[in-house]
Amino acid sequence: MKRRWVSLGLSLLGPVSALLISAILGAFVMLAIGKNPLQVYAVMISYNLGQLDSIGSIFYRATPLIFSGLAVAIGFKAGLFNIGVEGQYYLGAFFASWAGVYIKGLPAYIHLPLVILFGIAGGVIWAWLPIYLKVKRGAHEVITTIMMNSIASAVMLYFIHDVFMDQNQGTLGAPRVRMPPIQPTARMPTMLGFLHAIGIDMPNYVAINWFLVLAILAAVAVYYLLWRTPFGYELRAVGQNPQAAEAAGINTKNIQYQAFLLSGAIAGLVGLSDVLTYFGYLDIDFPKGYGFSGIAVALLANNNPFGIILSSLLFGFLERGGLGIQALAGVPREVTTILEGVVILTVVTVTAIIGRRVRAYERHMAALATAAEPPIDTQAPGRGQ
Amino acid sequence: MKGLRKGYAWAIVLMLIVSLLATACGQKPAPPQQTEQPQWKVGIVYDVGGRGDLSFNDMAAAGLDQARQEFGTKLQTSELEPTGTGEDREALLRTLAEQGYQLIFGVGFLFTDAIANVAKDFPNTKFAIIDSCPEGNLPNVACLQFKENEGSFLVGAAAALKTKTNTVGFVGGMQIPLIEKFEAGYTAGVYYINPKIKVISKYAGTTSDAFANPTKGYELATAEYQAGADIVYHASGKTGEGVFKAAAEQKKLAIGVDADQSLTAPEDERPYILTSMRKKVDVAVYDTIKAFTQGQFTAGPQYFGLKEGGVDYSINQYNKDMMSDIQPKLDELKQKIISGEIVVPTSMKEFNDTFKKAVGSSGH
Amino acid sequence: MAETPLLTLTGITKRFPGVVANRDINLAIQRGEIHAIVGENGAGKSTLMRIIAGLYQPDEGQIILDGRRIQMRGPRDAARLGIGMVHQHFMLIPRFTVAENIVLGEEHARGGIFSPREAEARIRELAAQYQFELDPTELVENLSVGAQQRVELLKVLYRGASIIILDEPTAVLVPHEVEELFANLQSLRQAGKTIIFISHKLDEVLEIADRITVLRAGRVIGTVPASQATKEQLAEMMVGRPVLFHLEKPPVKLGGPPIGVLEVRDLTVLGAHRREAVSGVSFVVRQCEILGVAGVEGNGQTELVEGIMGLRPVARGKVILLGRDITGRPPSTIRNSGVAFIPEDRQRQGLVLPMSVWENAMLGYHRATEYRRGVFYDLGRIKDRVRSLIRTYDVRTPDINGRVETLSGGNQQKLILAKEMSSSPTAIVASQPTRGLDVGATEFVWQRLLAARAEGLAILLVSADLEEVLALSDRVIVMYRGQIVTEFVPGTLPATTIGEYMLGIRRDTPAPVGGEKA
Repeated sequence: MKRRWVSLGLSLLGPVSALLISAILGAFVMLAIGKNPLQVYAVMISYNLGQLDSIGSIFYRATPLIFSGLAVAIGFKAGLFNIGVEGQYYLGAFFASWAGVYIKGLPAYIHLPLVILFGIAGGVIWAWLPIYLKVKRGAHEVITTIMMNSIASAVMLYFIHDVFMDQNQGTLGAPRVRMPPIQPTARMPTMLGFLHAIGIDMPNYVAINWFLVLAILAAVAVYYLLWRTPFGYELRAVGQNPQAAEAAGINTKNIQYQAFLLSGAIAGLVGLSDVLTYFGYLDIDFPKGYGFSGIAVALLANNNPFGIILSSLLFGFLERGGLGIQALAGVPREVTTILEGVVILTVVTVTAIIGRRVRAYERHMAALATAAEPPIDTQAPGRGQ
Repeated sequence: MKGLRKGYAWAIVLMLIVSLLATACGQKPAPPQQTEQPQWKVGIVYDVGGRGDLSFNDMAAAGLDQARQEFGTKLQTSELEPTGTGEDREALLRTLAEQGYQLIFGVGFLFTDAIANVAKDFPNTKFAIIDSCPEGNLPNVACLQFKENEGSFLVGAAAALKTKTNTVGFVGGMQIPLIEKFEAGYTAGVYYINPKIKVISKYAGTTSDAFANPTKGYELATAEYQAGADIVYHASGKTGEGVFKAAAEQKKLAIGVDADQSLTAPEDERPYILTSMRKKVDVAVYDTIKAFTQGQFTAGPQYFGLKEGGVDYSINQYNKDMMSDIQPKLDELKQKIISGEIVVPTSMKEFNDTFKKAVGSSGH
Repeated sequence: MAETPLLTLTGITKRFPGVVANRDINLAIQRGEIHAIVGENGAGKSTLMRIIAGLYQPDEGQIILDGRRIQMRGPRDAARLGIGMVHQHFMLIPRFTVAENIVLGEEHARGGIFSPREAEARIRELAAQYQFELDPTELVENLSVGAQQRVELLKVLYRGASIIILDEPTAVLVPHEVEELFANLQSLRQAGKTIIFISHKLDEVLEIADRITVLRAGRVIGTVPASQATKEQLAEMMVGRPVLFHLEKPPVKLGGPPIGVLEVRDLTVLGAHRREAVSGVSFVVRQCEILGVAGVEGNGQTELVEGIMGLRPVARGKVILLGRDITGRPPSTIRNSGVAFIPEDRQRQGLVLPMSVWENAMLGYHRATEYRRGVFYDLGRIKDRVRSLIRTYDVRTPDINGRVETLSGGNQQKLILAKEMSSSPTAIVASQPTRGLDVGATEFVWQRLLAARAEGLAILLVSADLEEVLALSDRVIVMYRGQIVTEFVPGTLPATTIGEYMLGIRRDTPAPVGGEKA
């Protein structure tokens, strides 16, 4: 039991010290532009933690990142680098939007789940080609998913702009490039009512929504899948040593195939929180880059699903804080971007370094514990000289 | 030796922390040196790209700068820029409103929904959005919109009057209705002067990157020049830098957009800029602030066309010789638009469906 | 040995956090001798050598070289004093030539320009002096492992070493390369060099060394002249108790005629570049029998095993288990029908190193329903089972939740044995089951295999260690270039004859091996 606490402590050592170091590095950035780092950090913390809407916003921002981090992590666990989460979620968002706009006459309790399934389907379809090419033809998934990302963004824009553009926009301004609004039956409600019921009164504009709960449930499900089922066991074995997995009778290609499609399925959910709750339509300003952030999220969390929740919240915290220090402490936007970059870089490198140290230490402790030294018999035969 | 090195590392880290704390403590935030309380607080949220894009955002910034110069310490300003994702625009507008900013600008049509949401929550705060207008006639939102098609009509006419090859070109940024408005006005202007002149139109892309891709602009313009165009009009933000470069290389002419780009272009490219279609965002921003300070903020759609002086073609020391012969004709056309005799189309559809017929039947 | 030693260590102690790697080591190395240091894995040999090579600084004690106390701050100091070390893992750049690798870091530049010609000439000179066969202009990537080791040796000599430390130099070599190495070492000794030779292979040590020092648990147990030492005596000093070298291998009594369990018929398997690695091999392994496969490594043994286990497509022929054709079935089917598998490379094929001990303990059997409650694993039950398993197989681990990579090689192999043998198989395919293990662990594995044989299992044992094959097997087949060149019962052929079969000098007409039908 004690050992478990020790190892938990050791696994947190990396991220925590990384945060401290990045705070120090960030401080130098701020000194360089003539800002007082302590003051900036104070603003960031009070803006982020001192207002309910900020807290809601952090959770809202974390939601897509949890999905994205999980999608990337499942790939990593199976030894696959899914850079294609980005494209997969574009497609997921488009599929879901299409179903949300054009499938009509369903009650919300059917329409919304259906729309979510469409999102999943979009992600799976876009993940299918790269993994098919990998398993059947040996094409590296990094190359193919990068290609698929470019195609996805072109395809999505083509659909939004040339095929499904909303023709009934108001006459007040120039028409915008977006699809028609998603029907109310397909919109994901916010959690504000629920939060109110349990005594938390968030302002009505906060977009925190039930996809957050779905994301957390997904994390729990992924955890159980990976660590408590034969499929997860095989997935991890394939990821960490395909040769041994194969020798143990595991069909490595099949496992990689399934794992990648699962990754794509979760990726399909990434964009839905924004589209189905906040925007209510798919447009060209649809948020991009979650797929790449997901890589950082997963790395930081060492692919642990619960760690992914925490690291997504950290990213949400940094983004929201970036707005806060821009608006309230006068730190230019570029610098907040640099700060975010510094944090991500430091956290990823320091976590890796400390992780290596911790493993070496564990190995060392294990060697000690097993080196049950037999008592030395100084009268051993053949003691020469 | 290894241990020693580790020791150094720790010493350095320790020194850094100590020096940091020292500097930090030594830099106690100085109390604001304001002798008089600012009378007005005006905030502006740019779109991605921010100050320094030499185009749209910079124009808005110029309007703010002008107001700042005039009102001095009586005007407190704040300029913000979203990082990119979903709710950033709304969050920034909201933060400004919460801090008591009385007039808040959103620069660009991407602010439409965000400004509507925030305006509803802060009925006593004034908002202004450029290039768009949220539905619902919000009583505290001014919509500053431009008749880019009218200005584009004039530069189109200028191109038609100047072309020797009977072919002119257009380079748009992102292919969206807003930019198509430029294309439609330009094409109409060309057509009005001489229906036989060919217009080659190209767009740099379908994402917002299309406004920041000079290489692409260079490629498109070069292609158009090689296809016979001798004048190319661009409505593509920073991408237009490439258009000017191509013009200078081919020794052909280009037409700028938004600002008077003869003034900001590199010296060697200036002789190749025929004129610019000025979209006076700076004027709109300045006028809105000015009106606000005088208690005359007007909500609702406001259109800045030729009549209002919101758009125009530019004359400056670099192009006045090139332009002098056609200026009378352009001014005549300007009057016809202001009087309503010419109705400039706002989209290519309108151009094809209505404008061509109207010109044909007027016997022009 | 009355003359003053060249190198004397007195009272050397080296501690690492939580462990004493060397304690109070006293050692005297004579000028011009080959001095072997032997000990089990973890006995402190490598630490001690690193201290002599200047890579570690001792916490206590003195190093006296030529009567002068020395202190080294790094390998460069050691090199200056004439001490050089050849590591177990070579530190060569494959894309560089032999000469470039040797002079790397010591480039004699004239006017800032490195002259390869000059370096090559010097290296040729050195190689000739010690009768090393080596072309300085050859790229290292084209060299055999033995030749690469000569490059490492020359590297040390080039820097003027008079004391040469070799860390487990034979671990990576095939038998004839070992002979070449030993010849090189003899000529170095004749030239007056002093050699410190680390190993745990007692036969080699007895063959090459002048004197032997045994380490156990960080201490010197004793130093004996090789001429007066026996293998049993050294082993006992190393392990701390008597070690069996002659295994009890009682004939197993069967009720009836022995049943053929695992049969291979005319098996052909393709290896790298689609070349036939196994060509038309046939044999039967019967119950209560160990069939040994001997041969120099790389003669198709690996492909044979992988072909049987379904890890490599079979081009022709059949694999039959108890009358059932299992040719070309997926590995999982083959395992489930009762073939346990001990792969030749336990870290690459046998275990998933970053996964925990308990997870590895069910690798290959992880789909068993008894491990599950509903769709999820029943961790309590699994861990209980694993605990009892590792107790039975004496796997030393502080925590079954720890990563398996933290275990020593011996304990890793015991874990593989535990999971494979506890699955109640009818046949075992064991490939290089004791490679890299120390004496104690090797003994354990051997006893387990013999116990399985006594229980009636059919065991196919593939090993590059001829001694092991001879000690364990009831029958032995020798493979050469993918074919069986002979079959014999251990004890019926002299070692030299077996060697000739292994090298392909001698071969019997290929005949179906195993006589009777299954």
